[in-house]
Parts: sequence; C-alpha cells; structure tokens
Amino acid sequence: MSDLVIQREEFGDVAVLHIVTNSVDAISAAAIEASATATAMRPITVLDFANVAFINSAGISALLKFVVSSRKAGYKLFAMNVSPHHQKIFKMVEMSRFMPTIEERDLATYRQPV
Amino acid sequence: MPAGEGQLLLWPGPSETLSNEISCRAPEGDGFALALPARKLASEQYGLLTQFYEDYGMQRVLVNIPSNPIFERVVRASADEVGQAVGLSPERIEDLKLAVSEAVNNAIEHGNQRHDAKLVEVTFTLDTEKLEVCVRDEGEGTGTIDFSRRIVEEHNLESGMHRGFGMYLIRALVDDCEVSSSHQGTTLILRLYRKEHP
Repeated sequence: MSDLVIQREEFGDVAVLHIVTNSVDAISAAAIEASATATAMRPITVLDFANVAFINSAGISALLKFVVSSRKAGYKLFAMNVSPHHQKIFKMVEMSRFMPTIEERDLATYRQPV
Repeated sequence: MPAGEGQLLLWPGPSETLSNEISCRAPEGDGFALALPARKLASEQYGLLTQFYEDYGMQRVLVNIPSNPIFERVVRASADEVGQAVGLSPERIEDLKLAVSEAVNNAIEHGNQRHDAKLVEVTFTLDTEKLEVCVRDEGEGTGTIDFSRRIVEEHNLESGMHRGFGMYLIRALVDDCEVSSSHQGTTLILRLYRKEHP
C-alpha cells in the first residue's frame, strides 16, 4: 500500500507521528507497521490519533510495532487525541500501559518558539 | 452472481424499483430483494439503506462480501447505518462496528483463508428487543474458539506475538455471542439488546 498513512513532525527530542488514515485496520496495517522504525522516532515519540475514526485488532497489532521499536531504542511512546471509545479499547487490551495518553498542551514546552 | 462479487440484499418489503442503479427482484414467496454489487457501494447508498428501513419497516439486511479484507469496510459501514437506524447510542454503534469488524476479519482470514471466491455472509436482523448479527463463512470449520481475555503482555512484545485480541473484544463488546462450526463453515452470532440487558 503506497498511500501515506503517517505524517511526521519533529521538534527537539520529540517526534509526533500524525496518523492520517481514518481507519487503522487490516488494510492500513502494513503501511503503519512499515512506519514503525526507530529512525522515524525520537526519545519522545507521540502517535497522534486526531484523524482516526476506527481501530480494530489488526490495527492494534500494527500499533504494537511502535511499542516494540520504541522500547528497543529506549524511547518513550505516547498517544494523543485518542477518542473516548479508543481509550476504552486501549484499556481493555492494556495497550495504554505501554502507550499512555498525553494532551497536546503537554508538548508545548518541547516546541521551539518561532 | 459471479464468483468473488459480493451483494447486498434487503428484504422483506413491497416489490418496486427504488433506484435505477439498484436492481430489485422478488426472490421467493412474498419476499423482496434489493441487490447491488458490494464493490459499487458508496456512502450515499447507505443512506438509501436507512431510507429503505424507515419506509418499509425492513427487518433484515444481508451483506455478502468476497474474502478480501477491503470489503470488511463495506460491512462495517453497513453496521454503522444499521446501528443508527435502530437507534443505538454512538458508543454502542462503535462497539457494534468493532465487533462486526473482528468477526468478519476472522471469517475472511481464518474461515475462508482469503479465498476470493468464498463469500462471507453477514445478516443484520432486528426484532423488538435486539439487533442480531450473523457472520457466516464458507471455510472448513474450526475447533474451539477462544474468547478469553487477551492483553498486551511483555513477553508477547518480545516474541512478536501481537495478534489474538479479536475474539476477546467481540465477547466484551456485545451483549452475547455464540459460535457454531461444521465442515460447511463457521457461524458467529452477535447480539446487542436494545435496552439494558439483565
């Protein structure tokens, strides 16, 4: 799948990976997994779910690649803009233990002034 | 119907033409079927589905898809429309969509082994107390299905075992479910009650 599924933003020690597909499922999983490389990450890596309307177990499996890659690199991984429904699902499978949720404002101190 | 081409059927109801783009026929008895290729489904046609429900008091929606994961999205969109049509809350609709998605993906992957010519049949049936979703594959059957709780665990991360959450999520998100399997295929039935289930 060649469609862009992740848009990367970097500032300082932070990488924000904006998931641009609205469906994190079996179709988008391969492209999402391919993005889960240590080189795409920074010591603080944030997955942004603002555009994500749907996640199923195939999608969760793909997202776990980010967990694995970040742990191997010694980086911290967070989730941002997670809908209440997806927060519920993440808690059910205990994904939130490995990828806690943060707020956009938590990143403010890391952003460089223009 | 050509092999590998899915179909969406709605019934029962009076026999008449609703749209030039969608063929209608009377399959048997007093029934009425509205058929269109699943690959041609577009968002506006789901609106038609809802309209059909309201106009004709339809009790059942049938979606047949080829065993290609892209068509799981067609079923999921149908679940969304049916959930809205029967008045489920937004959170319950999200639960329904996820449970149906897991069941359909399971039927595609493990039931039909992604053989395009084998269909997955999904039937949404509504009665006064519940919405029932039946997902049937044409595979060779399965042994016991494990609905037990699955979570992300340290040792699974290390070993790369990142799958297996689907059946647990289904069990947790619907009010009840049951499975039956034979050499003719596996059927998974999900139920969401319209009122709080005792």
